[in-house]
Amino acid sequence: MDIALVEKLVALLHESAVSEVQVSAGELTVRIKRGAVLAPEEYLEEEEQATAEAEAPGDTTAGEPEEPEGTLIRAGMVGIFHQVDGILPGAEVRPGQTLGLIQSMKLMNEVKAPSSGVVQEVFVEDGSPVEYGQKLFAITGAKAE
Amino acid sequence: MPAIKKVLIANRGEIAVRIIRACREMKIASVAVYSEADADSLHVQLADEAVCVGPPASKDSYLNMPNIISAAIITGADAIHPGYGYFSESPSFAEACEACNLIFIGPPSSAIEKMGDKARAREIVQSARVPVIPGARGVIANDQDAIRTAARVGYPLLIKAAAGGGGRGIRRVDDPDDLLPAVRTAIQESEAAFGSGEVYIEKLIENARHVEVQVLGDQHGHYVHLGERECSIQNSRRQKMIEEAPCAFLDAKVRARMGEAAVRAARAVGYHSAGTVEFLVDQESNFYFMEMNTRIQVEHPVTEMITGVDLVKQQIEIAAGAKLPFTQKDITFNGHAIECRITAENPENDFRPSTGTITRLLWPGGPGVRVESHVYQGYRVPPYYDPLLGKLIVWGRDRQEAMARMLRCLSEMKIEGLKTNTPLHTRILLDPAYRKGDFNTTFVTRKLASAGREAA
Repeated sequence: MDIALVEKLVALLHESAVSEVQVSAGELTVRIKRGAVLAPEEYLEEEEQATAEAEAPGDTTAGEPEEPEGTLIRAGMVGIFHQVDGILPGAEVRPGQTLGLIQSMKLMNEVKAPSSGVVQEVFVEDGSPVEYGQKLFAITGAKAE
Repeated sequence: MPAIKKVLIANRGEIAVRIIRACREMKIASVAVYSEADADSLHVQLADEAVCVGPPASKDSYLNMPNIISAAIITGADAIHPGYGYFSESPSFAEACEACNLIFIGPPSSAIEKMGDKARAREIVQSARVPVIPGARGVIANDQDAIRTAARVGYPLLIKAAAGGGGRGIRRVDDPDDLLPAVRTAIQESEAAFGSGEVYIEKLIENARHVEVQVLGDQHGHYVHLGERECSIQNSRRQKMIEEAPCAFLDAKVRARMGEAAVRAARAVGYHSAGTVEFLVDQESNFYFMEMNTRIQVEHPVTEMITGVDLVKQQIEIAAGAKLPFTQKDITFNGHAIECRITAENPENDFRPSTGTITRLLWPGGPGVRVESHVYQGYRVPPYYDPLLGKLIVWGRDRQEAMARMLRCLSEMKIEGLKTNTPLHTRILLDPAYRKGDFNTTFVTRKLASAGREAA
């Protein structure tokens, strides 16, 4: 089988609606597949990673409805959540900016933005109790600093 | 009298379940706290509310004082029950509760503090005419002091950490030549383990039994004792495995004297709530104060089984300010109870913990059987905590019936998916010396050693 034939097959595949073609000539078999081709190992790795993430002990959201994309910011302590003015969906935030407060044992503790981005969602209402690990904010479009 | 309407349980495992059940029967709302590793645990499912207080490591969750106090505040709990372990014997936790207007279901912080310092506790109870093990009146001041005290007490002796407990921080010395090096090592160990280098010397009571007396006191100065528990069946790490009530070895006279001594010890520190005074009993039925545990204990059910008193409910009532509903003459003892602690430990491998998922679980049942547990089929035993899976408690008219019932239960019980200490329990219950009541705290260690020789 010569290279020209393979090139011809590739061109043919591109023009047609067929996504995969296999040709055998003598002992040699060529299979040509359209689109992103990943070796089986790579598929496996991705899958494993996804499973590992879902099962990570820090993740208490398994089984919950689909989450918005972006960085999730969770409560690091138990207490009462207090809103900060202007931190609403759509607000742009800088790294280190105070997003909210958690009142614990009469002390106010700041919840800070880990990076810059846009607030996509605020999950808790002002004055409501939060437990450890509870979702507080989703921030998207986090830019590299 | 402050009413308690909602209790936060600052604990996990079987004791959290036990307390939630008491609350439910008393129509008190319950709040569970849990770590991320315990989200599937039974206490979380049984409580009316549950608050996650931190990551798996106990120091960040079950020992995270701000998060636990905050959890009580945000859920509107009036009181906190600490269970055993964790914050149960922490004076600062009891104080923090008080500062936040939360009722600590346990003794006053001052009593925890006094009994927590083992050397000081010894002095206090001695002045209340409670017999103590011959030894130093306080902590060892220097080498000279150690040598003098050791000579007076006699060998073999024990060096104990003043801040120790639960069998930790104890060294045995048989020979005067080994004394000073052992004292130095004990001080170093105690500093590392408990943050205090204070140690004291005690005579070793050989072939002693570990017998403890349950007391209850209210906030109005009333006390009762609820008899004793025999806790001599301990593993090689001095952790209790089997407890019984009553102790087959004691007669009614000694029992009454021990009970009165235990009440004097509690009164001496202004105690209220449930507490346990531990004694060593030698072969002549002399008893010596060891320490007071200022909390509900793992083995409390055996006392409940023979007295009919619900100790956890009494703790809650007392914390709310109620007077004891009985006096000493109302306390009667009926039958015999035995508890086996079922742990995920392999006795064939030095009691190494075994973790995994419980693939099959069948608890025994029938007359006179009680199970206290937080596990269920499909439950994954997290590797972060105590290996206790549950407690199997039986009651019988007498010790013979209780032993027969326990053996029946051990054979009915099925726990699959991990190794448990069940086979060792069966061997102990079948042992002729155990059955005769002829044993002391070295029983399990000697039994394992002799089994090793037989196998070799």
